[in-house]
Amino acid sequence: MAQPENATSAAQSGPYDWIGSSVPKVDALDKALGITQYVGDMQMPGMLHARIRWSGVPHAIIRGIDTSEAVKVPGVRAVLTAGDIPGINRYGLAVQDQRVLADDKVRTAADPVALVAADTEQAAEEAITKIKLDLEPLRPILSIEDALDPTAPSIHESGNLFTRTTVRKGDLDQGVKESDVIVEETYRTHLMDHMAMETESSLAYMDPTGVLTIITSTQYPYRDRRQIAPALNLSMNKVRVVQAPIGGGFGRKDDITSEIHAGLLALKTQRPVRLVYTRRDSLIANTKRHPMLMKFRTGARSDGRLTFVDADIYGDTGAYLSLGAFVIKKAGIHACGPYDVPNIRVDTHTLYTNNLSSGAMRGFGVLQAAVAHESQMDQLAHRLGISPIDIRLINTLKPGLATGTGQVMDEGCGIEATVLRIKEYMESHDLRFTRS
Amino acid sequence: MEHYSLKINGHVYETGAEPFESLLDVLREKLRLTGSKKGCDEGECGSCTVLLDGKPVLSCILMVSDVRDREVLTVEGLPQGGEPHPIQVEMTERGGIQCGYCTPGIIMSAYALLQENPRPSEDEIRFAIAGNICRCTGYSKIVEALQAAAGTPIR
Amino acid sequence: MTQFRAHPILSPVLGLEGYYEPASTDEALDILRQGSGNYKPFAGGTDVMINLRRRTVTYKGLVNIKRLPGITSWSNKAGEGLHIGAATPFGDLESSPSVTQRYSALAESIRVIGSVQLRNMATIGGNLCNASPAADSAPALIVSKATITFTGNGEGTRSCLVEQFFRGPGRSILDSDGLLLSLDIPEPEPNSGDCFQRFTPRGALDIGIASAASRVTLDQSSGRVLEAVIALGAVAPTPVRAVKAEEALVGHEPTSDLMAQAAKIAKEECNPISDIRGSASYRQALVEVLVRRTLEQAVERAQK
Repeated sequence: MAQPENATSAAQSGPYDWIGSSVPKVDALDKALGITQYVGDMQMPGMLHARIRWSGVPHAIIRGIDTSEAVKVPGVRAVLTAGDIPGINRYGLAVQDQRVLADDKVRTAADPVALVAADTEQAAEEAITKIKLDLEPLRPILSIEDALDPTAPSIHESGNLFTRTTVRKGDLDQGVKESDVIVEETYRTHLMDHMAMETESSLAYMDPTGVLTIITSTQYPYRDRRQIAPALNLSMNKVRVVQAPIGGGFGRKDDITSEIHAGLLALKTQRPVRLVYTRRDSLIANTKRHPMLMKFRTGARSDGRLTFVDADIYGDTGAYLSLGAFVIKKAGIHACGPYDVPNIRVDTHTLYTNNLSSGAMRGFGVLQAAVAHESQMDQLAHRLGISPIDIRLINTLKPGLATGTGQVMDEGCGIEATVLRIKEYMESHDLRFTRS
Repeated sequence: MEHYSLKINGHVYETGAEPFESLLDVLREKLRLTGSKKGCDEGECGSCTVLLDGKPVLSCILMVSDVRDREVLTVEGLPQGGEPHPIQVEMTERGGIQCGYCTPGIIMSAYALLQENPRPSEDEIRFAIAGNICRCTGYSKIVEALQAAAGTPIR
Repeated sequence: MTQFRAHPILSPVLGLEGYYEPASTDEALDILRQGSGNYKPFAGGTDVMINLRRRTVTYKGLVNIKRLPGITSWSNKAGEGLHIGAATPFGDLESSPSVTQRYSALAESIRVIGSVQLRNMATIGGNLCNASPAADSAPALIVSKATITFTGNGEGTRSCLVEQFFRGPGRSILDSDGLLLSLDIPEPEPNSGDCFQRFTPRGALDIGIASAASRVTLDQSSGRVLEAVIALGAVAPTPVRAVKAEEALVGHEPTSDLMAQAAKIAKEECNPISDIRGSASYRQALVEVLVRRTLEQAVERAQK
């Protein structure tokens, strides 16, 4: 079908006419017609289907992996474990703390321990259930409190506290002295899955010139390639990553997901291999939204003006860092929300646990912080007898004011106008806050 | 393995399949009709929605043996004379599509609704697509597109 | 022509030995007995397909009962009520005015099950046989005094009230060779009304944290409660009656105070568990609200 009319005319009349007009996405019609090919829609001659065996326990030493029954399942072409990895069994976005397949230890229940490629998905599925794991359980670290326990075993070589960041502004003691009311609370947020409609998926094959080609549902093909090549002991120019249409990413597909596993199986079998996660696989594995524990102390004067924020934010990045330290740092940077706070002490702590690992997800740490700072604002409003709207208007950042980390607001700062709109709407619709 | 003659989008397709295989797997892997998507494979997300004798069903948990002697309509069967169906056009032009993975399922649910109720209200549209999960759009643009396709006023 | 077809080895992977489509009840019972407890009868397949895929349950055989005569159809006869084949999809009932206009609680319970697509597949008999404590149609069927007809179980064809059907989570009075054939729902009595409500975080595709159905019959001259039936879902191992709450209503004028009081009694007499969907005390709090609201609706409908 031809481009919609408004799009054509906009393109003809000038380069900036797109701005402010409604422009259909160029790939939308194919999606509406059902002809867009996502990875799971693709097939190749001789293609095998892959499945992953997850560890199923959070923390253990691997004593052995018995694949002898799995290889006997009819249709199975390859069963691989860590010993089959030709390159460096490490990858990761920020630090290389992830194994392609678990070797010495299991660090989370979602650790991949073995891969199967078979003629059919059912055969691959059957084979992974026949792999026997001999695991020696270790004390699992399953909460932020566990991770902070000095007697807890170390999940990686360097301890369970990965990093700490600080935000400092003004004089905290002075802020406390000036406060007429101080609210002190602890908040927790939970782990959350992105739940993209399309699960993680890759189709890998050796092209006729010997280049390993991986068509994948990814947000970042070049960074994938940088992680795939060393693990498979291939030079970078022997790995080609093709970004397929993505059925939703939301940060999840920033990391390596199915790429190295599919590539490894294609390399070993010299056959095209399609690895499409089941929804269960997707819920088990790869990154989630960070659970956080946030201890906040916030002060205000009787007129509603904020005096200080004193907070510790603990983020559970799970067994692997992914982008955890950056997400949790960002929660600290945004700990005061869109408000002008004169005195600030905020520390963030990025912790390893044996939980599912967390990484990038829409909002990138800012949402967790909002749970804490907005709840604190409501508490202060209640204690001071000010409306929750007014306490926000008194304290919103305005052009000329700076955030806790020194970013000076310009005319793009719209929080005051937003809160005013809410106030007007509530007044015109006779809406009130109630508190019981 | 059984032999099945399946009537899909007005054509008869011949295929071998186990009777308990899902219609979705047969459509996608055997007949290469990949417009119907696999989001959960457990009947929870609606991405695999097709019409069976005119009614929307979940092809991922529908056994192929239950499709014998019945008519299946998939997203590939909607265009007429090479032209996209109005639902497909409006979804495209009104921002109803982002990643696109839920789109065929939404379009099939909407098509079934409009066959029964050509002028649905916003509530009726929302009720009809409640079995289709979308993670990108927040549904508003989808509902607007479906209202436009039905010719009902958009709020 | 017989539809009986046996497949010697279907799929070694799934552990299935046979897939059957019996054309008569006798044939179906023969096959189920052959399977000695390992064959699963199914209709909509919306649970069986998921179990197959998740491998949570192993079936040696699958018995598709949708070709049994009359099992997928239903009828409404004046003076007799609804006669519903066990494999009738909810979608067939949902869209029919003869159900929505006279059987309010049943219609309300059907409308919240799964999604449009699921209701076009899932069957009313399957919802009962699955015997989930949260089965959405169960409380409404109980207050409607629905009876079920079943066969097999070694004793021939018999009937009982839906209320007597459940034994525990996933368990009913049916043995592995029992077969649910149909349901009968009597016509609502004059001056009666009923209502079903359930609570879920989402509007669709969700399982009830708690549900309630109430049915009230009023004395035409005095306006007092002649009979009250209250059934609760997801608050016990099976759907249950709230008998004490019912007793508190009978013989009295159905005032808001009395209904609120009955709702409190229902809250006290149920004994739910805590699980991932909600704590016991939360479920009890929901029961009070749901019983009060369904009673108020039922009385309003009875007074019309």
